[in-house]
Amino acid sequence: MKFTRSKLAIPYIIYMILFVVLPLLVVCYYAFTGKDGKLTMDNFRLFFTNGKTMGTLFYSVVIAFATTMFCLILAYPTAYILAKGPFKRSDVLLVVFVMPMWINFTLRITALKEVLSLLEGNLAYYPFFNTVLCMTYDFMPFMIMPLYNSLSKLDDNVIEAAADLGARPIQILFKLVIPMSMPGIISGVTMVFLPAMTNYVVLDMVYNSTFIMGSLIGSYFSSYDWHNGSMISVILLMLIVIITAISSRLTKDNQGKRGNVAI
Amino acid sequence: MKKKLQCLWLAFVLAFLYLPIVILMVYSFTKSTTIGALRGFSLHNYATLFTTDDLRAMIWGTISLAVMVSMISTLLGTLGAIGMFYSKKHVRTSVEMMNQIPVINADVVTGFSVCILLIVFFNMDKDTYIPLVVGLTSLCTPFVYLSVMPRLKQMDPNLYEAALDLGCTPFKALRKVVLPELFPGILSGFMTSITLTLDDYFITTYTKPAVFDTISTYVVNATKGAQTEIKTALWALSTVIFVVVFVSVIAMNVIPGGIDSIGKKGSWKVYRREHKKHASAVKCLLVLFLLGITMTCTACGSEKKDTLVLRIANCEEYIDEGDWGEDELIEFDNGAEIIGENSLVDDFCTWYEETYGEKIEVEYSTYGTNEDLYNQLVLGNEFDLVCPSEYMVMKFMEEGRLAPYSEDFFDAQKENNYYAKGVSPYIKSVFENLSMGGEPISKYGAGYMWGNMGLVYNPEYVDEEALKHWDVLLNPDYSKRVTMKDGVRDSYFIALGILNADKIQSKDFLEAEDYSERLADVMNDTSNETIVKAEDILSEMRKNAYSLETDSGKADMITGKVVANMQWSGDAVYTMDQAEEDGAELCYAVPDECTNLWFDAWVMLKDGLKEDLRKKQAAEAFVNFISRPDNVVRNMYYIGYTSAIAGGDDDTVWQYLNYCYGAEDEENAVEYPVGYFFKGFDYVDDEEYTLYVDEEQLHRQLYAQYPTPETIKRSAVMKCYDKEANERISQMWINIRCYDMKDLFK
Repeated sequence: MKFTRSKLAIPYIIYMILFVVLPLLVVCYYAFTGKDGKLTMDNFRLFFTNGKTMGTLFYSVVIAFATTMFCLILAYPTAYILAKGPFKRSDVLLVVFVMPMWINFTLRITALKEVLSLLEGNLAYYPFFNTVLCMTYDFMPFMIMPLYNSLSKLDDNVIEAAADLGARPIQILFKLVIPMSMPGIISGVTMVFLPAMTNYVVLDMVYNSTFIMGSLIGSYFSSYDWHNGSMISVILLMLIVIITAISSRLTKDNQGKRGNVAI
Repeated sequence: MKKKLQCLWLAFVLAFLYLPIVILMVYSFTKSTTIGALRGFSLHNYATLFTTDDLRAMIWGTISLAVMVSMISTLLGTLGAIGMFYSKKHVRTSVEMMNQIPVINADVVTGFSVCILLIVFFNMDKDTYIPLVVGLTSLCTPFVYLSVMPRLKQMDPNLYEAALDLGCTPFKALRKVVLPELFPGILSGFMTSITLTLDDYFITTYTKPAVFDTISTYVVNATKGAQTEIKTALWALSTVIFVVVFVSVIAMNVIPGGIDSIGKKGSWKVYRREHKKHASAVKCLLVLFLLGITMTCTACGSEKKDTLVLRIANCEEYIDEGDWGEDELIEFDNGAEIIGENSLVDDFCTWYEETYGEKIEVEYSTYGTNEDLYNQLVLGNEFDLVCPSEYMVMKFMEEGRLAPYSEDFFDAQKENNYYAKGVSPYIKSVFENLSMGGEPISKYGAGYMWGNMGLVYNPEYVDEEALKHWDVLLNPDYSKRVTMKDGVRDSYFIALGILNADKIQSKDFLEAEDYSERLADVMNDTSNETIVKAEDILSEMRKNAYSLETDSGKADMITGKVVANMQWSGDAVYTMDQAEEDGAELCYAVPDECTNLWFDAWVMLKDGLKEDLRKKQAAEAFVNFISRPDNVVRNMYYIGYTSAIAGGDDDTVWQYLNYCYGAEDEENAVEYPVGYFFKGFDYVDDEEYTLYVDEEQLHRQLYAQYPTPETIKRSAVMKCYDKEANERISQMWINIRCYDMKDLFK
């Protein structure tokens, strides 16, 4: 067999098919079969007819939405100042802002929880606020990165030109900067939204015992109910497809770069 | 002005990101156990961090796992990127779509799907670490691909061609020309993999072997537990990680000619030099990779053949692990002394060799809950001797997993049969009367620890009258200040108690001749309509509760943040002991309706023993060894639970009771009968076994360890649910934890 460079990818492709695509197919198979192994829609029906599980879906979406908004509100100005402000793309400064990503999230949440307990006394009084706060704290660096990347690509001359042509700062922001940085916003949102719907460990750790979608998988897993657990996974996968479809419509550059920071 | 505002904003965000970590860092150097009051400088957290075996093993395990996974991912991802870069466009597009799946997908789903495929579908053993490595690799590889690809696109395409023209083989050209060009991308992919692995929780929990923990899983378990020492040691761990990350990240960015400049082409000389450096770096990576592979292989393949190996699985922190301080020596009035130097497991190995003349090795592992144990068995793990609770014993019996104890084991005349000689008559009768499929539990199980379920409370903040009923958990006066157990069985039992409170406390019911049987029937009701009613009660309870948890921190109890806490008796003793050290007094109460009598028993598994008589003998010997009265005392002291062993003719356990609870001031002491435990229910008020104790002990540790005969009377064992009821109850429990749509429209 002749050596061609494209053949180098064979182990990678085999691996990805075996351990990325195949598991998802098996999950789909489990989601639509019952304990007796026959094809059924029962799991699907169970999820969508139960007010409690639907409520959980709703609650996770609300939490994820609030978290994403908080992250955006905090991260956007930060990324803008870092990219366009007086520090002019200082790599060191950027690294300081995304560095929390390298510290284990469970340890960071422990820290925040201790501080919150000191401030609030009883964490159970503000479960929603605490959850969103902790999630924001956890995911914000993932939002800063893509925003910074797309904002630093934005040409300063374009902004100056707009100002010279008489645009007010507000107009520049909404008509120029935000639309131009849309790819960054989209990829930041995909980095935050889905984890915020599923990262139930954050909830567990801040003493809120309400379920989100991820916790459902966790609890079906611990009661060895593979079929219903798979159903939840499939529902989350459908959600991912929807999100991806929307984002690829909004932007071509929808490559998420979680944790991928130039060191 | 504008600049100042911008600086202010950045400072604000930085404060939000770093303040918690910095505060934790400061506190890690103090003696404080909670954030609040600063209590004196100390390095003891760091000492704990670096000397506790558990923590050290966990840290090294996490790091080696991260390095190994990253090397595999880097190899796969780099090859993939190079191959794809030179492939046809449409192939590349579809492969890149596949590459995006783990990037966008929720980690929970990735982990769960790998678990379903490898562990559920292909029945792979978690202990081989293969599912764990595979799962993490499939998360990391796409990120390597994503960081190598841009480098390829930037590369001058003529370089490779030129190398070929100058006489290189394609392989050599790739190695000597392309690879060095890609090096910054490869390195950044490697680092990304490392951070992803270190940070991952979900994939790890779904695929890791039971005995292995990474930082994430360890921290999550530790924050649920009540061990303050570990909790504060984790603060030290955060500090160490923070400093390491901070220094290395800043160093890489500040030092001129950091990694980013490596890829830039300089003069030929510089290029040559850099080139060499990379080649050796690549070689280093390769060597490390091979090393990792061999390490796992030896770990997998190191099964001993000759020595007898006994595989024991027990609950976490459920046996004396030795290493007591000198001040912990237990000294009885008659001069006998007991202290735990080595762990009981090690002591057993020595004892077994001395007694039976055969070398033995014990593989001792632990699990979190009965369900975890069951899960492990279903997923193919093998053990010889395990220690589940009563309902799980019954479930195992029903499924035919257990091997019965030999007749010899029950012969109380033999010298080494400490269990047969010492088991409490009360526990013995419970075991004989409880049956599954027509056979008594006593045939398959040997009692280990037992107790009941009650409420630990802080007498300063809660009215003792309210604690007479389980519905204190529903009481709005204590809204968000009571906790319930994060366990479906215990909570369901309490719900039944509340639901049937009037019925089981009525005079007719209490005075009926078959009171015990009737109580057991009521408390084991799993009919559909009862479950529906219980769901309502539990939903309300959850809204009233501070949280559902496996262990409420004692600090919360002392400060009054949590006033009452649903707790097993043994954990209650531990909580009260711990609070006492902090100068606070907590109490234990068992409501009037009923309580759950539980016990854990050692059972032998057929699948593990495989009818090997040597193993069976060793397993029985282990049960006997830990039932030897001095070992019983060691266990009780160490874990706080009550042993099922009374000691028979040996009075060590009775001595220990007096040692712990005997009143110093005999005049004001009250009588506390425990004859039922030592001699049986016909001897409830037996003079010989009546303790004289301080009155406060009626609500304290003694009451939790050895309930009064009245409390025993209103105890019921909760049997295992049948399959169909189990499914409905599990679903009910999930419903309770879900967010109710109805709440939205209130």
